[in-house]
Amino acid sequence: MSARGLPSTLRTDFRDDVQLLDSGFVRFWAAMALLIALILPLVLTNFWTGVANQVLIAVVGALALNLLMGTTGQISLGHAGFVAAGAFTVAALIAHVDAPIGVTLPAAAVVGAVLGVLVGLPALRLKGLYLAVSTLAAHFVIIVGVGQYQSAISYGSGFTIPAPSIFGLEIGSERAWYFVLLPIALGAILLNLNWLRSAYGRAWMAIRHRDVAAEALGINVALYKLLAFSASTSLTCVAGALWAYHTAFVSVEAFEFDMLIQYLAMVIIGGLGSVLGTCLGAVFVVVLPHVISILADRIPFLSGLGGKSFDLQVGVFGAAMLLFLIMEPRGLAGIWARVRFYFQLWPFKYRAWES
Amino acid sequence: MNLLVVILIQASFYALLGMGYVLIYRATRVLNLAHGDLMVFGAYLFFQALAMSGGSLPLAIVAAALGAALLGALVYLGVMRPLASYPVAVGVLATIALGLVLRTIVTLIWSAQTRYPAELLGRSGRPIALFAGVSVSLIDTLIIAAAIAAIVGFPLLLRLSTVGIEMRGVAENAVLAAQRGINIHRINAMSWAAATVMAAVAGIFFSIKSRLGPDIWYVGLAGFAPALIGGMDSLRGVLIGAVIVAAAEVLAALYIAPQVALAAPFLVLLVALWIRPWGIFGSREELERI
Amino acid sequence: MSKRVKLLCATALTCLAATVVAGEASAQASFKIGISGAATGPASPNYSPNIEGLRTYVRALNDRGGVNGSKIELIVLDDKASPSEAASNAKRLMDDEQVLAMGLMSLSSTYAPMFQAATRTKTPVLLLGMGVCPATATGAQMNPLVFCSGSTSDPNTAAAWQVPLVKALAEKNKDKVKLALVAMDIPISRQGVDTMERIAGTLGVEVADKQAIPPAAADVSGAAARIISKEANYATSYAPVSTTVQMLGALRRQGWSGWYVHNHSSDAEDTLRQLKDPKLVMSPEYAFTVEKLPIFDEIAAAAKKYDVNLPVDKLTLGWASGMVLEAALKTCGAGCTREKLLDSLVGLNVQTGGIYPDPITWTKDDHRRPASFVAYVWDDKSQSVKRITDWAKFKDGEPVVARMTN
Repeated sequence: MSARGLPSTLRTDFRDDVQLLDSGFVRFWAAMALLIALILPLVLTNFWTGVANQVLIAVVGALALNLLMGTTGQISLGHAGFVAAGAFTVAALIAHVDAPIGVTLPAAAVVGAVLGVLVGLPALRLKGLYLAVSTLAAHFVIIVGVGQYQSAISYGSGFTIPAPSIFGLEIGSERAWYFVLLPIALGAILLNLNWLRSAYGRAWMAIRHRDVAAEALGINVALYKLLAFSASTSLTCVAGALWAYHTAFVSVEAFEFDMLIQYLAMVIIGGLGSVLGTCLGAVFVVVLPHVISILADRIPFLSGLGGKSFDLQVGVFGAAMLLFLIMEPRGLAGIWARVRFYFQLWPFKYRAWES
Repeated sequence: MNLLVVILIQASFYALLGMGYVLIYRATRVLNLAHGDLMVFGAYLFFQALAMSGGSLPLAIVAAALGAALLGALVYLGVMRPLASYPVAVGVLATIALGLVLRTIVTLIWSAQTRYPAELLGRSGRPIALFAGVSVSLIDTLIIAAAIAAIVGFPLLLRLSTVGIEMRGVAENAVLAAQRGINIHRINAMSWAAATVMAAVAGIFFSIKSRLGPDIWYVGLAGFAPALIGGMDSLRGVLIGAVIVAAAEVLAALYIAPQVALAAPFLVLLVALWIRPWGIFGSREELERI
Repeated sequence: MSKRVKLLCATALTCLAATVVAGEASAQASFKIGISGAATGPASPNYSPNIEGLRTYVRALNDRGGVNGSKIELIVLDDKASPSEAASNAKRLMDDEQVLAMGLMSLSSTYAPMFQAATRTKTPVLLLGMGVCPATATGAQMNPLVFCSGSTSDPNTAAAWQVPLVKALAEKNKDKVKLALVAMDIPISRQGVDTMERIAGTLGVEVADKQAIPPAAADVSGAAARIISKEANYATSYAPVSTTVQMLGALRRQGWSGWYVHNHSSDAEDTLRQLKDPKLVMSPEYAFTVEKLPIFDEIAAAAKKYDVNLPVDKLTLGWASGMVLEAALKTCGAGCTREKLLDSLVGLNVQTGGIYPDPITWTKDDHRRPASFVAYVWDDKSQSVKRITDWAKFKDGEPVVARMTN
């Protein structure tokens, strides 16, 4: 219920309509989430703060993939290649010109934008299956390219990335990283939410539903497709750059299929098209293998799984993806929506209008 | 001359894999990105049968083929059938997810250790001299023989047998075929079974020549390049695609570097997608319909 | 939504988070040693049996009461021979688990992130089992934290033996050598092959081809075709045994009948027995079980006791690593810290019962161990592995001479 006691779906002026935190329910949960997020690094051990950092980076990358696959409906299997591009941009800039983070992050974004246009060009001709395949092929080309670069420059042993300094402070510990990554992730979330509510978002969603009809309505489909690819890849490269700094080591095999599968799992399990879903998916995918590991330690008969938890994670993602694809296409966001409506409407079961 | 034989052997391997992709595409209209994992599963079944039968090659191959057929049918009935009416994208993602599940099952049952079935067979890969100074090994001749059997046998099957004609009907228009009384789920299950068996055979020979491990699914994935280049719904096209990709790979290793040979199938694929996305013999309407 | 329900949800979520996060296992009085090794993946045949050998030794040691009453706790993580996995293992073992020392049993491409983390946390790093020795084990660019126990084959040392061996072999067979050099596409392997090329030049051995095979290469027929087209009649590699098996297999299938000399690596004796190729020569720095030393019986007994399903020759290098660890921790004593351990390592003298002909010792300026080389081949007539040279001791700056036994 909004402050004036009216149902939150009844808007009476434009300011109300544009509000992101539009109801008491949302405001409460947003505040809770922010509070927990701020307290987390003080409560968690170093190891778990590191996991939280991985979640934050994953959120940025997954939101980018969601933009392309969920909102615009373009299948892209090249995601890991783009993360690699961002990471190697950082590695190359540091190796050759010792660039500070203030230069490498924007550089990664620019590289991503250009790459997105290049990879998006086939999308103007191809759809569905063939687009997926061409993005997959693009992934391989990028990986081989950076692999050759790594082979030539570092004799195959990868690049170590020194800790960056932001405004003179060196970001070395996990806790410091957390307070750098949290605002970045929140920024990415806000960026995506706003994109979706803008003309761009509407055009992208129209392209997903029926691009022929969208073209007929006057939307320049080619331009918006390229924009979607460009925006998505740019954000992904930024995520890759952050990944490179946080992991402090860049080598080509980190960007093989396993990374692509993780991101796909995040958006599918989270729910294609939903920002909240993608965030939930990111948390699920990053935290799950660690949870399996811990459960394996605590529960005796599962102990054989403990050592294999990182092999298992792939299978669990696969099974989870299959289940969600078959049974709940809206993913975790769909489940969350159902839970939320249950509590919101209780003791009623239905409402006359959908919020 | 020796070079041509090497390309021929590699092309046979790709032909076996590519035909599997085409069969599955004709049946379920989906690019099966789990094909590499089906191949690995079949190879592991062979390894297990070999270990349990004390090194008997024919017995192990038959056992693995039966197991693979069963696996293919189960995969269709369990995963692809419920997703039948969904858009293509969902099918592709589902095959990716399926591949992951298969890989995990393999790791859980057989562990991620690299194995060498050749050890169990006691073979040392001694070559057989043929002609013009060319030599091949027994395994290589078996691969070529298997590929030829599939290339010749399958189109015959499609043309002459009832099952084959029904498969062609389903591939052309599934709804119409169902209305004509063909049990499309039975036919599709058989297509998947046949495709999995071919993948398993390819995997068996690969694992004898090289190694067996959950990580070789990557090799099976490269098999979709010949299928796409030749046309996803054309068995004829796959052969040409297989030769092109095999030639690219071997020549790249010979004249450039082994590292580039790894990416050769995908580079050729990219070029083909730019020039002629629907493949050499593929049906053009596939592109617009999706 | 009622306030009560909101409160309930909030509490439930926090409790759930806390359960998962809380309660790490309490520390015990034991020596924590971290091991990062290639237990799985294409290169694993060279490394995973050594990990098993080390584990068996430590189990036997702990059952005997451990080192001065304290047990050794081995934390083994798989790095799949991938530098990225090694980077995350480094973080987990050196930062989170706070291990006393790191043992590396994997491809040299995993060294860079490991050494970086070790330098940051001042953790001693032991290259165990088949861990190839980096150039930073000695010399001007020395990393004082790195100790080579498994192999002393830094790029310069291995080349010093293999090329003279090829030359001596060719002289015995009365062949004119055209040598192909095969590396794996990882740093030390490529450096080793480069050194071999240089030494071949000084010895007057003609090099026909030089190649680097990617670690995960599935099919090497193209590369083999290239070697055959360059008419090489001898080939030698500086790579894990899996690369040699792949390459030799591809070469033989295409009808090549030349000699292949494989470098010092583990899983060598078993490979000779499996392949039964009379022209495959292994050039290890350790003794094969055909020498019938009493230590091999000891290993066999332990393998039987702990149900380890591997042949003795695959366990010897891991076993020797265990001996090194035991000696180091014994010298370090109670209250061992990373600095104390570092001091204990220099000046250590470990006898390995003949697995390595020389004792493992290090000096302040040289963290390589003394090395001697030998060569074995499969003998068709006696259907067993046979030694074909005398032991040759390596001395810095002096060329190694290969002496064939009759």
